[in-house]
Amino acid sequence: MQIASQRWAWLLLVGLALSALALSTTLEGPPRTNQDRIRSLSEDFACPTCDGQSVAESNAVVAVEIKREIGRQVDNGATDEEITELLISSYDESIDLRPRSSGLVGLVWVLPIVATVFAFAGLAQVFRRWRNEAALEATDADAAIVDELLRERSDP
Amino acid sequence: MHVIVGDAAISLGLAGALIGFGISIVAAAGRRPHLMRMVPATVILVVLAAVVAVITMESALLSHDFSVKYVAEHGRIGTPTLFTVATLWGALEGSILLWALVLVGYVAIVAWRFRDRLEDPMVSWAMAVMFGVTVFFFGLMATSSDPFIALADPPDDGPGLNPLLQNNAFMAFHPPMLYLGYVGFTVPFAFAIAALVTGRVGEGWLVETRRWTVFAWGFLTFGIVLGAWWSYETLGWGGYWAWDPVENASFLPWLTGTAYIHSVMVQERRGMLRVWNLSLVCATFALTILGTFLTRSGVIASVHAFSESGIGPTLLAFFAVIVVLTVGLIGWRADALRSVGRIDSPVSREGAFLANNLVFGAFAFVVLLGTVWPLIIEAINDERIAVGNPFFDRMTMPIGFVLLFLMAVAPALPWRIADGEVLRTRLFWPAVTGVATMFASLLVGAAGWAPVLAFGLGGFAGAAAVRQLVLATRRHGWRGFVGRTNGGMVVHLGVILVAVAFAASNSYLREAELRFAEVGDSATVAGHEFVYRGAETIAWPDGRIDDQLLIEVDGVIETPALTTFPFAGRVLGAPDTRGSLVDDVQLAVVPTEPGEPVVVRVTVQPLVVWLWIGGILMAFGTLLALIPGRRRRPTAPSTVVRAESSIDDSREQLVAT
Repeated sequence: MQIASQRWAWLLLVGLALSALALSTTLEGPPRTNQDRIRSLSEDFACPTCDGQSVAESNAVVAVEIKREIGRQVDNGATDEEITELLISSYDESIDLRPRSSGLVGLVWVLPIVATVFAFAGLAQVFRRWRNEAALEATDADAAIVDELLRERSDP
Repeated sequence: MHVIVGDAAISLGLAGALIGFGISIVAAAGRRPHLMRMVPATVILVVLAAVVAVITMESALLSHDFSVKYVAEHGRIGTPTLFTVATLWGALEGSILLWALVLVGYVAIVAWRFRDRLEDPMVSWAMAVMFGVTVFFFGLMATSSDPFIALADPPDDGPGLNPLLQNNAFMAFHPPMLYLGYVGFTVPFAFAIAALVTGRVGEGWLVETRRWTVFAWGFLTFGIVLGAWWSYETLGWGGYWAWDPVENASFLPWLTGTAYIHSVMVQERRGMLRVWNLSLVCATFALTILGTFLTRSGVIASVHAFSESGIGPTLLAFFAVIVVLTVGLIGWRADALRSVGRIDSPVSREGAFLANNLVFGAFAFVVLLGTVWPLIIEAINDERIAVGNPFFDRMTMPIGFVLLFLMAVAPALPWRIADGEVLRTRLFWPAVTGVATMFASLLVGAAGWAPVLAFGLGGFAGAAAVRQLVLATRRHGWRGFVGRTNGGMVVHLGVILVAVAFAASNSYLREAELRFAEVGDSATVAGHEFVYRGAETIAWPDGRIDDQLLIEVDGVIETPALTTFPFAGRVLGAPDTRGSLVDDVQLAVVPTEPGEPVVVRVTVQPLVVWLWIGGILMAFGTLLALIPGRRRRPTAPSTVVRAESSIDDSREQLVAT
């Protein structure tokens, strides 16, 4: 019980948590194979003939063909950017499930962040107003009235 | 015959709903409450109509009456009975019929539950709203989405349900569960509108509809989890959630509904957030309609497909009516809605609920924006773009972390104002558990900061929930598990399991394509041993043909297959999953030419099974939350701190005014 309220105990916990996170970034998971790269890339591209499915999910003919193409490119050592460019040029931009980050399209990345920041700023503003209003304090006279009412309620 | 009976039932239902709507409006607005005595009769009428319509459709499906267009388009002789029954909700017109049935079920239960208070204007208005929604759905069936259209020249057989919907029994149960949730939100919506119209915007309507909301939320949750389960078991890519528009449509009302379930407690206890809660309830209902519009109108495929479907514009108009009605009413009642009191400190239970609501609001905004963004861009720029997995994953990950953190801290926060000392004491052991979880996950091979942080926050939040349950059961015995707060903690545990399983299975997925040229060939993936043991073909009585491979996984034979549906002219994968509490191995056959080596796609993902366990725990916790718990005294709506001279306690004492 006492240890919990000690500042050093909490600092230690935070320190341990941060070092665990730091350690986790240096540790290597199992080696990433070409197949793993193909898999994660195929989640980034839409199957052109199926509504709302990625190449990874779909078993449609064209999806299987795109998956093969990604496989060929990965085996040839192409970078993710090269593969993206190739697929966009052979299909069109609507194959890329990552909306680009510029122009009107890019707003999709920005709007939620702006909205959230505004919402929290608004909330902070409301709390500031509430705190300023809270200057009101109950006097002894107020307390007496409350005590009397409570007494009345407890023995009617 | 089926067409005549079905159409008659729908006309009768529409008439009954119109009469009920008219009576309720006149009774409530015209101050003639005695008219409400006629409502039970109209409720019986619409229930009868919906039941007869559904029975007629089922009878048409089961007897393969191909003179009914719906049966001709979606039925097939030889489909297993379970799927023939489920064909009712396998396509648009039938699912609207199921929606209507569930809706009138809710109407009937509300009418029964409030049978002694029908003349109360609040209940009359709520009935009017529910009848209004019923009119809309029967109206759809009478016009653009008629399930009973006669074919002059009926075919001898139909194509059957989409084969994807036929190879797993989950598909038969997922839509009804989802609809029980979706449609259930009509009840709180109806009471919210009634509260606005009558001006009784206090806490009464909340208390009336609290259980209904939790009930609907529970079914929606279970329905979503079943859908993910189905997707995992049938699609064979190791995924269960793809952020596709249909999934998002079911997730959006879940997000706003979840926000509401939390913020409602602030209003009950403190009389605050009235506008916000009304807006959330109405938004949740509106989002169920918007979701139906997005997924059923063809608009997602392209904005230009929108006008081609008959049902699209109608649903969009209904959505607009709901939004305008809600916003208008809230504006009209603005004065009454202004709440007294204030929240003393952001570090308090109320403060945490507010943060929770903002975060859920942001979550819903991200999902909605990502879903409709391609439509907006196409409408403005005439440019086709796509928004998918990578966007949603990246945007929602930080939101998930914040929610896990709030789940850990909020249960330990007292109402009104938190004392640092108390908080440190309450959170210490949960925090220790969280840090220990991080190191434990590193020991078993976790890598990457995101999943490790998710595990740590999961441990923190899980221990906080367990702490609450332990305290509650110490004080109240078995009753420490029931009631909203304690049931809610069980739901939290389920959510945490889902979050941890989600992080683990997404981050550590391993995939490999194994080629086997001869029987006896073997391979190893992520520590699992695979041996090819041959192939066989099975012909099922309903016409399906399974070409399955026998693959020995760690000594046990699994049988992934390619299923040919000759009647639909399609070949679909039928993956096989070998699950354990540690990891899942999923095998899917990749089609190859005869004579070539067989190819099996293997995905290995840790902890997948905990997604389903977590989902079941969430449903179970919802049930516990519905059992009445210990009554507690409501906290007074406003606080004033006593002047120093009168403080007789060393602690700050809060006095009700």
